[in-house]
Amino acid sequence: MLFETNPILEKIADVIGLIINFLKPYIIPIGKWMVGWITMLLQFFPQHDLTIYFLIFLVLVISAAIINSKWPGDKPKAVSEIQGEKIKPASTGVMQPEKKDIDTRIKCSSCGNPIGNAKNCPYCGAINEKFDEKAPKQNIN
Amino acid sequence: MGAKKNMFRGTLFTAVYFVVTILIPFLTFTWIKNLGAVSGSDVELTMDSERYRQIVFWISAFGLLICGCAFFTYSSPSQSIRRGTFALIMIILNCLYIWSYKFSGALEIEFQLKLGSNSGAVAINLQQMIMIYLGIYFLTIILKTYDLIDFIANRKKIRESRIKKEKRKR
Repeated sequence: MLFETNPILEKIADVIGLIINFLKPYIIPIGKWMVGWITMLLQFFPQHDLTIYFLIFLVLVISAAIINSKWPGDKPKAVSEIQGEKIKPASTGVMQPEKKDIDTRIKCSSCGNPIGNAKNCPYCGAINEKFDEKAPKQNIN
Repeated sequence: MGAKKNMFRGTLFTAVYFVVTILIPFLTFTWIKNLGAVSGSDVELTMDSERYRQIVFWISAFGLLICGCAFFTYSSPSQSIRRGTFALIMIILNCLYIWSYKFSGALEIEFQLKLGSNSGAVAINLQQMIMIYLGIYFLTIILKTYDLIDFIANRKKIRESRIKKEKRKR
């Protein structure tokens, strides 16, 4: 035997044998209980057709590939990191840019609040006389 | 942890499990079946072909399930709930795999001996050994369950430490 040729291996085999012999009275009842539920569970497994096992294997591999590629365990980047701008939650719960983005030089002729290039003043609803359709849109709160 | 690395790890471990749970047992039983006459003697060892078919069936069936679970487990990020869940399922499947050897007859190996005009049989019963093995497996199930509970309970801490690690790498 392989274990008898090398004295170190023989010693290791003896120690493992001793441990197992010591634990045998405790482990075997657990093993018997395991056998009980395993026998019950095995009744539900198909015993003549490998197709179902192959299908389960394919489903597991494909779903794992999709799930673990899409969510590989990294935390998704914050929106602020992507856009490079500070964002604070509005009272409505919708993420909106800060007011400082608005061109404060253009003010409403009616109420005097900064309105940027908005068509109507968001505060009083007055028409913006300096509104330019070609200019890029600005966010206003 | 990148997606590519996850997939590579999953594939690697699936290959390992395929070799260990399907290929090696399949080759071993095929070798036993085809052992035939022992050279230099009149002793002939034969294995029932019906039993051989059963053994190969159970090995392939549970081997496939274990390989699928191994791919899911090892391609998942470490300390994630999905990893813990599938590791636990894999251990339970391992128990079924080991015990299925009993139904296939692998635990009661019987050899037909033919010595010239006389014949006889030798049977080896390995059920006690499997009982011990299953007992040890029960302890592994407890460990994996503890792991899963730990992953769920300390989810926030695990995530934070993972993000810290990622930042340090960058």
